Amino acid sequence: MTQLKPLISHTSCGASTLINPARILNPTMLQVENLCKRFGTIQAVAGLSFNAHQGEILGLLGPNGAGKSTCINMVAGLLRADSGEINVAKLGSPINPEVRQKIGIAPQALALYESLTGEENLRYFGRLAGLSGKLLRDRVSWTLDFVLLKDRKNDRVKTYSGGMKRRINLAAALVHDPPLLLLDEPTVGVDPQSRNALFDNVLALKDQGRTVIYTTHYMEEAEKLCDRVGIIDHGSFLAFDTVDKLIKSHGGKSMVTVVRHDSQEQFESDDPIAECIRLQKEGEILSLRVDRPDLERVFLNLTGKAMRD
Amino acid sequence: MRKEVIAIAANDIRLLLRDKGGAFVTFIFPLVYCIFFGLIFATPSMSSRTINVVMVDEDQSQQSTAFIELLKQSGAVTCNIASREEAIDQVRRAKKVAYVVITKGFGQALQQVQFNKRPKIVIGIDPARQAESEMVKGLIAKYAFELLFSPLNQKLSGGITGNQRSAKNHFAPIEIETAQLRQKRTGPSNSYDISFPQGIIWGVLGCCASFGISLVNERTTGTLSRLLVAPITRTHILAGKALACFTSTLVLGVVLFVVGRIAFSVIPQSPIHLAISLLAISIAFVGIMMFISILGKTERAVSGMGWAVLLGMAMLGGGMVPRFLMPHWMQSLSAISPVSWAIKAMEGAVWRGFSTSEMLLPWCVLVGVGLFFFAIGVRGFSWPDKG
Ligand SMILES: Nc1ncnc2c1ncn2[C@@H]1O[C@H](COP(=O)(O)OP(=O)(O)OP(=O)(O)O)[C@@H](O)[C@H]1O
Ligand SMILES: [Mg+2]
Repeated sequence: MTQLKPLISHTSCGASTLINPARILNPTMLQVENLCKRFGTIQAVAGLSFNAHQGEILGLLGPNGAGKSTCINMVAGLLRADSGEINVAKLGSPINPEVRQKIGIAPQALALYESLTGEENLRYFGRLAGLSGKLLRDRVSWTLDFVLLKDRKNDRVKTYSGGMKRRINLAAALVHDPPLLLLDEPTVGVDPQSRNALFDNVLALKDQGRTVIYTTHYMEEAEKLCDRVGIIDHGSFLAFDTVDKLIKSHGGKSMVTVVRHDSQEQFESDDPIAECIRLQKEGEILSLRVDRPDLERVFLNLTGKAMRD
Repeated sequence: MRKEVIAIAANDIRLLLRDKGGAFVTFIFPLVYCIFFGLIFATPSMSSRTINVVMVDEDQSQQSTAFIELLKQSGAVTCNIASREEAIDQVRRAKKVAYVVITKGFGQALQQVQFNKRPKIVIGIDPARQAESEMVKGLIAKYAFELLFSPLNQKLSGGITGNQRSAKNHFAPIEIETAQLRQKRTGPSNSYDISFPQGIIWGVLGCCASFGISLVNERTTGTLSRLLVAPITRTHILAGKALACFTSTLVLGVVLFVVGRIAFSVIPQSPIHLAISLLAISIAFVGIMMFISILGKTERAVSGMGWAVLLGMAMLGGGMVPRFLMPHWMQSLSAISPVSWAIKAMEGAVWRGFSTSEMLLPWCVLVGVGLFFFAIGVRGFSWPDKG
């Protein structure tokens, strides 16, 4: 197996994850400034601005139709923004083909040649990205290993399961070793085992110094993986911060539920531990439950409970 | 050329070959067509053992008449009688395999073989039918001998002795001269000369449809988006697609003509003209392929509309029924179909014997058609990022 060359030294990467979010130490990999995109009457993206740093996983959370994929596609150079600026690796706009060399995208809708084998797909995408010869062979082999598809590399993609297709879709984003990865809902239709393997993949990529922009509807994914999360609706950010800070500022209070012989009580509290000690002193408790605010609560508080699309 | 463009083209061709139906329509069907219609249109001389010759009787003697009768009755040849000029013309235009001139004084000489007179027969054979040339010579010699010892000649010459009879085995009392025919033909030498250009047209149309549909398929399956996010330009993408179609049509044309040359005596009069014609045809149909790809949003729509357009072109242009079988008005109308120009470009090089200046018109029309349709296709192409 070929070892992928880390983009930043291990110590700096380790230090960054231990002490501070990546952004404090590492250079900016992606700058997005006031990005807008309209489809007819629909304002899909309405003035998004954010930065992502080397070695950072940045989550974009939002309900259906919030504008996540549109944003990702503009960053990938697939869609042209109506206005605003994108700067990748300080090289400029992804409209420029050389800049796209730095980007790998795993689109939400699978984009693979079903009648080709997994390996043939990767070789082709690698060639398009300018790889050839031994480097191409090594990268394809490394990528197949990385997504655990080496055994099935000679099978046609149409014979793959849904999860395997997702993994080869991710592999196609990685084959040319780009420093910026755009993963648009990479875990849709994937079983818990594959999902965990994919999380490990993403964290390994981060450790190697890659920047990952990750969109998802699964809150626990964002909590587990993302250094910072942007909650997006109707094309603009409702909040953008680390998961802890988002919970602190938008999660609300903890919900404490206490059941006694003769009563049941439920109330909100800023300090649930102090509340528990107080409740115990007041008499016998049959059950006590504390619901701490989580990202899902933040999400629902910010985006409301009304159905979308 | 950039290697990414070549990678796109190579991938497209691989995808086409993976699709068994597409590969059949593009590569196998045209060959089947060439052979099938070659057999159907085959001239009697090709399909049966009789050889079609034209006789010229310049002697007008009893013997010459008897000789023609002998040949007719033999069943080995079918023949008609014409003047020498007409006969040469018929062979040049490949209507007949050979002409046989019974020269003046034939009858007289035949009566006097014992006095070392040698009756003379001149044969002219279509250069494309050399295989039959020895057979014709053999037949003429055989029946001339038969005539020599026929009761008629015996009677007219007053009897040929046994001594001279044995001459039959030792020397040739009849002189058979082979006339050189100029290479230039103005007609197809065999039915495959017609069926191969037509068959190639079907392969080219198959390529056109397959690659046009594959372009739409790339859009609907999202792989076109992948190409767009790769570090290459849109020009590279379209160039790769065009190269795939161009290469396939060219290879198809070359392979089919090689098969035609080896197995079916399709001998182009000008291989260089034919090569240029195939290049021009490939350019034309790459443009048409690009145009086909914008005829619908889905594979089904493009396939339906595309084949409707292509079949229309083929029907009008002589891809189904050869143009010379069409009524006159339709022959003139067929000039609006690129297929008719493609066939003209191939036939001009294979058997019509067009000069380079005569070839220029079909070549220019084909290249012009290619550029025109390519421009329309590129302008109308709907990239995934267009709202
Ligand atoms: N090509 C397009 N043409 C017209 N409208 C579009 C197009 N692409 C996206 N939209 C619209 O833009 C809005 C944002 O869509 P987008 O796909 O970015 O949402 P999303 O956040 O990725 O949603 P999901 O979570 O469902 O994937 C939606 O209202 C969608 O209908
Ligand atoms: Mg989406």
